[in-house]
Amino acid sequence: MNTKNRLKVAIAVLLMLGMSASSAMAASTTGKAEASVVEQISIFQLTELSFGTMLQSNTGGTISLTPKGDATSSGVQLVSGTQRAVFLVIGDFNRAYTTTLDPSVDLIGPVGATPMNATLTNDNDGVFFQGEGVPILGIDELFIGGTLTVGRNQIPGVYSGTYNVTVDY
Amino acid sequence: MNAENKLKVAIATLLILGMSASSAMAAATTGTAEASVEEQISISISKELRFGELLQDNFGGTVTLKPGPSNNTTFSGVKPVIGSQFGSQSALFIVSGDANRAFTTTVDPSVDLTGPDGSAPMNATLTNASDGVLDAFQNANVFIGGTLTVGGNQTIGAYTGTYNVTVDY
Repeated sequence: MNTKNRLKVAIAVLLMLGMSASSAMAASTTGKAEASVVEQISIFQLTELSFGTMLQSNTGGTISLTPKGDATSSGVQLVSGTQRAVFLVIGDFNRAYTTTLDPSVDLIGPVGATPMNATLTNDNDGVFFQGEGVPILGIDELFIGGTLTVGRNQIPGVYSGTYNVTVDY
Repeated sequence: MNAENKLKVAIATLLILGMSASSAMAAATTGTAEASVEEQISISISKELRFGELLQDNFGGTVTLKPGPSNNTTFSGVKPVIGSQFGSQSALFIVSGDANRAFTTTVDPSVDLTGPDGSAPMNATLTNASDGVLDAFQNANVFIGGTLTVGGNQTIGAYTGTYNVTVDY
């Protein structure tokens, strides 16, 4: 091959090397994209809170009911049973949850009666038990008690009020 | 000098002339040989792309993560778990190479995240925010974000997918 042709081949090779050089120079890697879908937390009432039936008292007094269901009364005589509130909480078994409860509730009675106020307490620890099924759900029970203040000569009748309870992750 | 000796002298002179003839015709100069070595471009993962923990609901929605250091995320329809330890974050890739040199960044347009058996995949479109030029210390950042679509009643569990990123001068 003569010199001129040798030069042409050399240039062609260099050009080819030059053109492929940038692809050989590129760098690639992979990344992971992640997300997770989580059970919504939900709450259902199973049993209502009740301070029971009591006799009218000319001193007034209190009825205390623990979240465990133990009742004591002072100044007022209980005639029939108290009952703690029971709620069912369902959510992600692997997760802890928080509980927010109104601090108290007014129970409204017959027309003209003074409302009776009850402070409210709960003692659940915010940890689920493992439920069955797929996906595995978390289940917990939430108990509410409180202390009802009964006035002197509280007007006889049925008293009731509504309170809020919220659970969240 | 006799004829035979003259001939010898002539032949010797011609031979000497012949040997030095190429030197008298030659010309010399210098040329420069050059080569340059450049840093290969390279890329490695620093943080993975995460869309976070999302609450299952009947309708689903989208999660849009703006690529960048502030993890700016907007939710439409679907809600995040507020107290989550695994919040959304942009992916971060570190690029190394020649100081002050521009580079191109190519990312897959989208990625499918697959979850538990029987679940529908969730698709995420991908967007990138790349420095586009290496700094004086030979480094650059590439942030990856995107929009994840969550279906109605999306199966509970962890979802993951893999995508490609390429950088080149």
